Formats: sequence, structure tokens, C-alpha cells
Amino acid sequence: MAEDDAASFPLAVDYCGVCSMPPEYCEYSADPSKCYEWMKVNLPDHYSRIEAIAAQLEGVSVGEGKRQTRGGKAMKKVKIKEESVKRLCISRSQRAKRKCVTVIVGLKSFDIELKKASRLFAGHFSCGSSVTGDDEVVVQGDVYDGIVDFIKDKWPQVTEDHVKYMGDQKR
Amino acid sequence: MFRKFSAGESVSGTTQAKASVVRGIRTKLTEQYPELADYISDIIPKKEPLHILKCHDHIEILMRDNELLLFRQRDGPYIPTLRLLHKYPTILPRVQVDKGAIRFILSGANIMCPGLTSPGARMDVSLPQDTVVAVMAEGKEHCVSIGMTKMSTDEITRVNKGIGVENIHFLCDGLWNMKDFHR
Ligand SMILES: [Zn+2]
Repeated sequence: MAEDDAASFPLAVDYCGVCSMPPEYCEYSADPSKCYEWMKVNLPDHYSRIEAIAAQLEGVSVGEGKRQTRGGKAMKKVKIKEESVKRLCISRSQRAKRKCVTVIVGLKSFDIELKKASRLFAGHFSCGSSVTGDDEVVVQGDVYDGIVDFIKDKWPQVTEDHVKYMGDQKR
Repeated sequence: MFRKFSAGESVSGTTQAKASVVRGIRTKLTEQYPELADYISDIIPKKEPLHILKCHDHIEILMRDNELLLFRQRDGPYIPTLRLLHKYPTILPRVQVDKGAIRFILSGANIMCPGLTSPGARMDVSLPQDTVVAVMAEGKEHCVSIGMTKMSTDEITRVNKGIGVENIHFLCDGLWNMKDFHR
């Protein structure tokens, strides 16, 4: 540990651009080799320091991840976000006897703002509409048949191929 | 506390703290962390708005300028976020764990006594139970987690069994990954 009596605060701390931890902790990240690659370019000082420590300790290059020696579970691999599949699911579900709502899932994958979309739906179909989940918009009314044309009209990035009609669904 | 935590799901609302509330927070902080007194005007300037994020489990987070500063649960003590602590490392007393414990802390485990008493570990100052501590790690400059002692450091040495420090907030947990928050 460095003596920090003389240091003035706030300290400027560098963080790894890959795993977001301070570089000295990169050996514990999900993919240390990626961290070191990034560090070599962006924080060369840290890289050379870590390389020196590693060489001193075990005579191995930092690129090789150390095996876990104690039991227990290691850090969870960070899920790498895949290029999300662009798909729009439209379904209809019955609310009361003769009332329906239409559920649209997947607008987010087209970079459509849900709040704006729901407002547009409400205006166009003259009915209530709200954002009900992370990527879900509910329109209060049976607009199952009209909504896709409207969406395609408003956001040309959506095509018929993206749309999946789910039919009537129980909620 | 923040293993499962995300800006989208865990934060239920934000409010701007009233001046009187900010004053209260500043007083409380300087009482709680005398070391912080010199920097309080840098961390929470009087003139700038301070936001309070209300989160699940009665957690609230203080935010200034989209930077998360401190948090607390219910009426508990205010605890700095790791990023703030990295900037002002002297505000919390420290304990140090051995190298072998780092990977467990990073997966959210509490810190067991043997990890605090082994040769690579250090407990330089005597601390009572329920003290908020910076958890340092053998051979590392920056702290890996923030915890709360579950027994006094003397007891940790004597008993040397079970949980010594509860892991509250660690590198790469939900709060760390939230980094900043946009309203
Ligand atoms: Zn890294």
C-alpha cells in the first residue's frame, strides 16, 4: 500500500476500459487478456508495472490467466451483449368480455423510444396506451390489424419480416 | 446489498434534496467521518443540487452531477461508493485481506475471519463491531470492497472463524456498474 499522507485528494484513479476495475484488479476480470490488450494501448504505465510484478512473482507473462486455487465459485463471466435480434412481437389479449388490449414487444431493438411510441399509438388509435415493461407497450384496444402498418409507416426501419404475429395470448 | 442492482429496475425515483436536507446530510457526514470534513465542500458543494435516488430495499443513493457519491439503507450510516472512496481513500478505516480472498469478494462473498488474520492480511487499528471499513487487498493500492465489521477486530483475531466483515459494496457489483444515472 502506498503511503498517502503526502498525497492530495481527490486522487485521480485510472480504470480499465474493459472490466471497469482499477487495472491492478484486471487479473480477476472475466477475460484478463482483453483487459491487458486494452491497457497496453491506453494505460501503458499500468501495463508495464503489472507486467513487472507478474514477472517477478512467477516468471510468467500476464497474458496467462491464473488458475483458481481455492474452492468455491469464481467470478461470473460477464455476459457479452449480442447484437440483439430485431423482432417485433404483436399479440392481443382479452381483458374483459369484449375488450382487448394489444401488446407490442420489441420496439427497443429498433431504437424506438417506447414513451414516444406509446403516445403516438394513443393518438392514432384514440385510445389509452402505456409503457408496461422494459420493452413492452400496451395499447388499450383491439388494434391488432392496424398497428403494424402504422409502425411500418412511422419507423421505416421496421419491415414485415421483423414482425411476428402472436395471435391471442393469455396474460 | 448490490449484487442484483440496476438503474432500470432498482431505482424507483429521484428527488432533488432541499437545502435543509443537504445541510443535515453534510452535518451527519462530518460527524460520521471526521476525515471527510476537509473535503465535504468538494464532495457536496453547498450551491450545487444534490439528488437522492430512492431504490428498493429502502436504499437511497446521493448523487451529484450524475455521479453517485454515498448511499445508505434505512437510517443506517451513509456509506461512500467505491468510486468516491478511491478518490478519498482516507475517509474510512481499513482492513486488509490476503490475496486469496480477493476473488471471493469480487463474487460477492462476505469476508471470513481467516482472510483477515492470515499472513497477507492486516488489521492495524482496533475497531468495534458495526464499523464501516474499506477492504484493502494484499498487494493492491485501491480497495476492493466496502464492508461492515460483524464483530470487533479483536474478536476477529480471537475467534478466527465465521464472517468477520459483511461485504456491502464491491468492485463490479450492481452499484459499481451503475456508475452514473441519467434521469
Ligand atoms: Zn480490466
